[in-house]
Amino acid sequence: MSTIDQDRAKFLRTRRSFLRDFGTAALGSLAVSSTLRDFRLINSAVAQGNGPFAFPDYKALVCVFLSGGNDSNNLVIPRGAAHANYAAIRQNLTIPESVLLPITPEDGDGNDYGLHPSCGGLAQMFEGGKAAFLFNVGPLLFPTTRIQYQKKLVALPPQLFSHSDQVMHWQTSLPDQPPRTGWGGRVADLLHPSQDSLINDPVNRAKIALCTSIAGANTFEVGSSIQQYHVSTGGAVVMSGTGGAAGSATKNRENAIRNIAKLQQGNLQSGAYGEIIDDAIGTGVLLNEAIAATNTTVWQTAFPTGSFGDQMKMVARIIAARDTLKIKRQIFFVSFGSYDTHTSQVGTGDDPLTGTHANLLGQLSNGIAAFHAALNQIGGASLQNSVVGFTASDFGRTMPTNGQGSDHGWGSHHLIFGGDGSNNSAVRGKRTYGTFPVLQVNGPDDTSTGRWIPTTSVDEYSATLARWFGVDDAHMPVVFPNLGRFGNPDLGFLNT
Amino acid sequence: MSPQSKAVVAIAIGGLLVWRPWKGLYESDSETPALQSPTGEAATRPSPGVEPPRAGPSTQPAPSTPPPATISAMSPEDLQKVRDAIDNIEFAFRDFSTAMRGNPVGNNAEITAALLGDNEKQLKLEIPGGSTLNDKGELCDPWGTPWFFHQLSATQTEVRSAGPDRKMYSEDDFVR
Repeated sequence: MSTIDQDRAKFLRTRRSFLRDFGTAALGSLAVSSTLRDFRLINSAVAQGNGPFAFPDYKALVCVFLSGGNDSNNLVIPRGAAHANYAAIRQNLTIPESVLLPITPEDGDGNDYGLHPSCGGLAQMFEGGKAAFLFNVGPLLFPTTRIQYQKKLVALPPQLFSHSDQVMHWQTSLPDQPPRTGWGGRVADLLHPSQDSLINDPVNRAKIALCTSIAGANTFEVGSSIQQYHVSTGGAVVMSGTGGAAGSATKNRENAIRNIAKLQQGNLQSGAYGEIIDDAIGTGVLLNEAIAATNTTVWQTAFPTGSFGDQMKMVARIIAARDTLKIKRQIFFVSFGSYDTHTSQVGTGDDPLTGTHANLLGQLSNGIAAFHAALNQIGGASLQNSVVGFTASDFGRTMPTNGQGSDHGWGSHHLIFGGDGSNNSAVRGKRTYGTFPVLQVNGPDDTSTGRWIPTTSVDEYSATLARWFGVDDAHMPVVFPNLGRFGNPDLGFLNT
Repeated sequence: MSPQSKAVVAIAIGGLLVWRPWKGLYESDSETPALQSPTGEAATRPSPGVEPPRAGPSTQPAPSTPPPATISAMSPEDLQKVRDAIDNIEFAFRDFSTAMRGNPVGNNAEITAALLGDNEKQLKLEIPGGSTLNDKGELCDPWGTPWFFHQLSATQTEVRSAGPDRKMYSEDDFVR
């Protein structure tokens, strides 16, 4: 290309890129500003309408994210005649029917099911009406059938079967939009004003953000205006040598640092920075002091050792401090990894009772059971009915074995837990929801290789949880813009 | 021109070659940093695909990556063969991703079909050099075993060859 051509190309590129960038920026700004405007309107409406007593009760949602893509085909397994069909496809991944933990759903679909033998705690909770399963749920843009999938007659979530994209789809519930916010964050944007309406009352205002993560930064809890608060499994990470009793050296040191941070600054930016430092120190110390009461608690049901047990224990301890923290609504995020079982899914010699997946499911079951028992220990049945947990994961996995494990799938079964098992239990337990897929390669629910096409969307699943948490019908489209495309805005697994 | 002047000119030219102020003027806006494979092996070419913006730092999945492949079990000739073949697959993925804003997805047969024209824009690419097509429509490695495509994100796909022993997840696997 000659120099002249280069100059012309440069000019054209500049003009084109300007027009393109300007257009994109304008559209982007419009979208962002309209979203922010919606949330501001909602915030002020909620704050004015409900006032300081909007939430007389306490509720918490706990998202347990199974990172890597859980093979739920081996979590809930058909018994009876259907088991032979299951075994024929799964081959070396088969869990023998004789070792399954039977569950007996009420109002079931007529089929018999059992849980993986590592899931004793979950089976007990299910049978006690404190847990339920939702079958074959996954990200969708529209209801999708096999024919539509194969003939490409319906839009699909982009980059199906890739880890990071499916994580985003699950956590945003907006597969067709760039991931700006998570659905937990959008719920927090909507509801936080109701519990923070006493913002000018330093005693009674909420002390921490509505969203708390025990697993670090996540998309699920990203809101437009509400930030997630990160806590480690040992509590808030604070400056060393702070906190303690009033008058102690450490408390005096903390006060001194905070007073320095609060010094009036001529520069607004310096002032804002000082406020943030002051807030961060104050919130961390306050949280740690609030959870100190449970530092030496002997839990009647021990939490399993390891990251997942530690995370669930910290969630329980923060919930125990809810009154001190003056918080009425909390969303927790817990992450538990290594579910990407392409290999070593089962143990040596294809032993299905050992291996990576059995170990993971055992930790999951024991951790959830211990958490549920801890809630009872902290606040009895009333608190159990105030906390609902649910699982989410990148995707399900392929039904046929790859020889050593299973590969990326799509729809999967998920667990919802919480409540005391009574008629008023938070979770309408001992039931299954959704439709169990026909376990047949190239069958009506299969894309082609034993990857189930979801029959329930993440939107329906999430909206049911959000409704129980306090999102009303009028605001549901703001939090879940695609919900109207699906038939069940409330799947019925929670007593609202 | 005096020797001093020549030295100054040479240094100036050298500096310009290193600085390359013209770099970036005509490059694609969508260029992203070089791929880093999950196995830690840096890919040799940048990925042209556009990673969607993130809502913030996110907790990414922690896949239990299959056992690391040991390439010592492969002869140098075999090693070169499989590297060349994966190079060509990456070229194909790059071209596909440029047009479709993301790598092809699905199982091997679906990915192969997408590369060969079964896609939204009916973009048809050739079978990548070093690979063959089996009767199931799957793209196969130099030893005739279907490649395993592990989809990590829209622009990152781990490619695994079963190696000369044709057994997946054995010691002579090659992964990038």
